[in-house]
Amino acid sequence: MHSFAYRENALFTFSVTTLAFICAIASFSDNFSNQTPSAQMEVSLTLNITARLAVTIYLEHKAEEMEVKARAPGKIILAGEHAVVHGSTAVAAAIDLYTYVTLRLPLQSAAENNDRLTLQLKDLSLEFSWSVSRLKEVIPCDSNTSSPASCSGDTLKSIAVLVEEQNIPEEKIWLSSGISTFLWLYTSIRGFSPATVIITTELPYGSGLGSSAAFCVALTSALIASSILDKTHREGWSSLDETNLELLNKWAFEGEKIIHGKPSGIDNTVSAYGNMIKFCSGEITRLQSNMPLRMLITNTKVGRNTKALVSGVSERTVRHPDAMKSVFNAVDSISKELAAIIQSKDQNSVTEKEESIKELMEINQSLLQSMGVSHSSIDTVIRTTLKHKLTSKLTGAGGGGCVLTLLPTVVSGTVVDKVVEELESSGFQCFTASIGGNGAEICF
Amino acid sequence: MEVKARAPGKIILAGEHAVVHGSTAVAAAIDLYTYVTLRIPLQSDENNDRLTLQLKDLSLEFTWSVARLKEGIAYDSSNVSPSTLASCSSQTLKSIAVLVEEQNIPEAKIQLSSGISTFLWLYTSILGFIPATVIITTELPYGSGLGSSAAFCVALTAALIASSSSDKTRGDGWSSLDETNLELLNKWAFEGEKSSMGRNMIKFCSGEITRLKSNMPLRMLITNTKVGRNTKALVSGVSERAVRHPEAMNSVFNAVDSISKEVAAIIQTKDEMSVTEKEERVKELMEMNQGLLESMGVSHSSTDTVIQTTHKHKLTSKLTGAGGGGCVLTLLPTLVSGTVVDKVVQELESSGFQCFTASIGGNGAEICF
Repeated sequence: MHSFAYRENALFTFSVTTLAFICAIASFSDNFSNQTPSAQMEVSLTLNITARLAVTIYLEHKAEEMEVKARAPGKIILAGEHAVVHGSTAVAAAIDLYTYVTLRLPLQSAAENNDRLTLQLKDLSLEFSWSVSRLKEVIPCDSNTSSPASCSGDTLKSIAVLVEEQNIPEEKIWLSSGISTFLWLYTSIRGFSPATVIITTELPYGSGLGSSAAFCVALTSALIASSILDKTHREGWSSLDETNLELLNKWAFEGEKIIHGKPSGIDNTVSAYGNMIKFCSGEITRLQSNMPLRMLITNTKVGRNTKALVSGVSERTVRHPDAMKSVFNAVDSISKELAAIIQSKDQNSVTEKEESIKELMEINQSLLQSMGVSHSSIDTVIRTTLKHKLTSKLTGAGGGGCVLTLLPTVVSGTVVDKVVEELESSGFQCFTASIGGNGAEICF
Repeated sequence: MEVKARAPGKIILAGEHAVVHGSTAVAAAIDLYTYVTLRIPLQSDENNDRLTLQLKDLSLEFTWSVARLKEGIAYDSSNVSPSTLASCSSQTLKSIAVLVEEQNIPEAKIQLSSGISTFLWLYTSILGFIPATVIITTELPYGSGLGSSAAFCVALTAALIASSSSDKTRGDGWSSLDETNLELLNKWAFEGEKSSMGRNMIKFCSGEITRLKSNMPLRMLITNTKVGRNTKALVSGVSERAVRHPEAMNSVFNAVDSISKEVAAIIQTKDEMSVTEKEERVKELMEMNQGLLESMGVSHSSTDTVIQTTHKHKLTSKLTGAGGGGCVLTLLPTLVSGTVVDKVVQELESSGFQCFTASIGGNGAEICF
């Protein structure tokens, strides 16, 4: 029934425990002879070691066949992108499109792969693997890994070496920072223990829907969950408690920094906590949405350089400070109004609220055009949806990327199907999504 | 005696709509004109008891006997002089309307009635009940936001004022009126505009007007989308949006105000900036203004089509005037090649639009004997 290694392990454990016990008794009996401080310490020390040893081994036994799943949502920016960099308010929301992480800790008995850390990117059919000893060799072992701290430049360099050894195909080279983040988060939270990590996602990469943050949040959730002793959770998906959420968010933010340099923190916060947030000058406020919202999200599949778009807006602001300041003020007002409508407990009908949101989206889109971040592909989406009386707005950096179209509760399925058909025939990719749902969740 | 006058149309470079809410706007004359020829018959001629208006481009003619005019319009002999300016009273307007109706204007051209009323009022107020033939031709499309009605009023008034001035020994060709006459002209033309457009005119002419001295040549492609629109509805649409979202719209109007001021500054600047640098700035300001007009909700799919077409050729466009159709301006930088312009015009015309190229900021009203 049990393999040889398993029985060996059990025997060894038993022997060591017995030995430790015998030593403890021996030390204890010393008490009855000449009591010296060192003898007392010896006893308690031995008992301590025994206890810890037992717990660790117990856990290892328990952990032998463990699988933890986690998922984290992507996000959209409802209003305020770009202007937020210049001090305006922005509103972001979680969407029900997820990145899933499965963390599989190997059987002690499995001869192969119980000394390797493997990362599988299922959607891309790519696998990356390192031996645990190689990891230990290269990555500095930092004892202070219980609390989130930024990844130091040196550590990042070491990790980069490990990533390079993987020979990532040239056209997928943008994966490197994500894989570095994976190595850093994993080793920081779980140390150098072997595992297989499997990633799948419903979010398109680099499209402004927060796929990298969802990755960081989902991964961190799985890692944190794996160290929780109480595994008797309810069936299905459940959220982490508040303390763990905070921890999760901090770690994910540090991970985002590796991928993005200077992220705002909006993406990981929305992904971790879900629902909606209001963001202004570094201050994040969680919002309680009081109305359902459905959006059509169209990925124009036009890649863009976010940094370039952001600096383009800054340069325009330098050339026309007064006009752009007013533009940013207008966006600020729009975001605030939007946040108010979403949370409002007014007697206004859902349709009335949707009408207001529609108009605010339209105004925000035009202001984004004034900033110079729209794109012909975005204009095509807008015109197509406008023909069917639907309002659209780019989300995120612009210059391509994704476009949001509000789907009012009264819109007919036929209209939506028609719009999707027209958009897809233009080469775009469409998803419908509910806005403001759950954040990070785990499942055992 | 024959007097000719011509007056240019106009475009709004920046600030339309927002100007209603207190922002600055910048308008400029374009070198597309309305021409008025005033022919006063010799005593011996036939037809020396009729007032005739010929609209050459539309092949329409309207005529009244001087006696009928005297009958129909309240005649105050002491009041006939160019320098005595008064608004057209509603009673006078009513009497004039009767005279216009008697002309049996074809149904399809019924929008001409107010213009013809204006003609009768301006003519009889400045020249009295003298027989004449007035011939109008224009390069400006009607009702497209290029100021065709104002150009009509101005050209007509210029001809009328010139004919009543005693000094006829002008040089050859076109020349401007002197300052006093220009002021008079402007006031009469304004009154004319008021009577033809009703009292809801944008407070553009009578607000604070600052004449700018342009220091840079500007060429524009003007595209007439030929989409008609209801200016009143567009203006009130913006006001309603401002009621629903006061802070956001207030900032939008502020942004437009800043843009107009910058445009005015760049046009007049004596800085060492190259023409191309100035054009780049104007381009960017036009792009921003267009975005802001869209946020006010006054753009239109036809406008978007023009913008996209010109954008493909790296040219920047902006609607001018009320929006909702009407005309679109495209800046033609000095460095742009003729081939590119031709291509753009070709694409636009194949979409059913009408294109003109025009120089901005040229002469105002001029007369010629």
